[in-house]
Amino acid sequence: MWTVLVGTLILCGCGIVAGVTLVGAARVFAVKTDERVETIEALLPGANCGGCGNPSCYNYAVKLVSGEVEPNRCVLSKQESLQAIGDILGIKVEAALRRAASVCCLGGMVAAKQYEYAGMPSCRVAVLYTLGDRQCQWSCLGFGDCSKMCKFDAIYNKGRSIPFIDADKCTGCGACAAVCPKDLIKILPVGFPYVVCSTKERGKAVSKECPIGCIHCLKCVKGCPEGAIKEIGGIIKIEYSKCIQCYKCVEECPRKILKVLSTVRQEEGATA
Amino acid sequence: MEKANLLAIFIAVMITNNVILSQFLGLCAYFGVSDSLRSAFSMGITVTFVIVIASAVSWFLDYYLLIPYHMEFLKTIVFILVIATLVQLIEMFIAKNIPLLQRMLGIYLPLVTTNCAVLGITLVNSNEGFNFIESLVNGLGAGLGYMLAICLMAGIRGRLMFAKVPRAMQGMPINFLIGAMMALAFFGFQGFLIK
Repeated sequence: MWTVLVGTLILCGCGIVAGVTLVGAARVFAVKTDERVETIEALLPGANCGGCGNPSCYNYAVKLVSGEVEPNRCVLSKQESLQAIGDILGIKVEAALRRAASVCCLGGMVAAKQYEYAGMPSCRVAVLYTLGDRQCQWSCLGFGDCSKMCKFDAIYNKGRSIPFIDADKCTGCGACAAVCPKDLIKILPVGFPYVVCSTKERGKAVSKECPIGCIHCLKCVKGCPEGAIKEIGGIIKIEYSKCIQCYKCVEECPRKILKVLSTVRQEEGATA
Repeated sequence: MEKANLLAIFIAVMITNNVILSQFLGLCAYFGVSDSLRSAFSMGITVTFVIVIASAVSWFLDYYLLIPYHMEFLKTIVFILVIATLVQLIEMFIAKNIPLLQRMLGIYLPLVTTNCAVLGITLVNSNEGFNFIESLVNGLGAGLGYMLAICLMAGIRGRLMFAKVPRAMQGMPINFLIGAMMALAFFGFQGFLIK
């Protein structure tokens, strides 16, 4: 009898003390949270894709409320929900350019080989051996590490090839660009021209390694009426703030290396 | 003599009687959180932190409440209660006073509430009749041992990403195999047990 009584008392006592302590602590250590964070988080897609540069939608919502970032950084949200977020925060939301990933390599498996690679089928492993088995050190290795990273099924490889990106499905979150060991994947605005070759070599050196690479003839640079295209450090760069989408550069390019990034893309990368 | 004894407890609980690999406590988080080295490390830190504090509090409770009234059979349930309360309390305290630490520990702190490693170590402390300092050292060693095991696992799982795993073994099965092999390897330390 004594044991039962004392046991019950001790357990109840512990429970009551714990409960009272927690209630007291909840009062003392109460942290003021902004209700807007939760409302905004509900409006965000909740995919935690990382496209805005934050690890999760919650972190992005916190930053939105504190005014560190703008709502249009979210690549997945529809315009209406961005507008709703803007209304909550009391700011005007400008529509952001739609961006999509694109692989800046045209040759890939066409480029000349320097040795037979028989290691693990992963770009990040292959790149450890003299930057891959192709002579061109800017060539896509085609094992598709990027397509494995995509959460939206927007990239796929047909065997060993330059990955094909479905720009309709691509949200521009940049997960593929982060994993590419050669930094060939760029997140670029849809509807603008871009250079589908990343080589820094010029002229004959390119032709020797890859029959269809950019030889830096600079016809695009001269052909641009707005002066938006420049060669900086061996790379052809397009300044998108100056571009008027006249596509003269696309016409000028003798090797058809400049292309327009459109949401409907027919051509696929050359396969091995 | 005293110091040598503490060192023996520390080494024993950290390596030879590793919580995960020899005593098989806290396995769910061991497989659940070990997918990246970063989260494994955070989890390890959190577990160490909670085990040490839980060891201290449960020792007081055991020594001043349960033993005098001969209520040792209530140990398990009282310790569960205390640990759950304690973790809640720590979480509130951290959220208020050390937001940086809260961001680092993040979701791992509530996870630890139900981690059997914490309860297991407090029960071991009580069953072995450790004094206060010994309990603390035992808790610290257990926590660090947990961190060691989970970080090793996370490192191996990182390498697994590049390995060709047979289809039937992909995911958890291969992780269980690796866990078993690590446990076997740690079994080799049994000979070092200082008694």
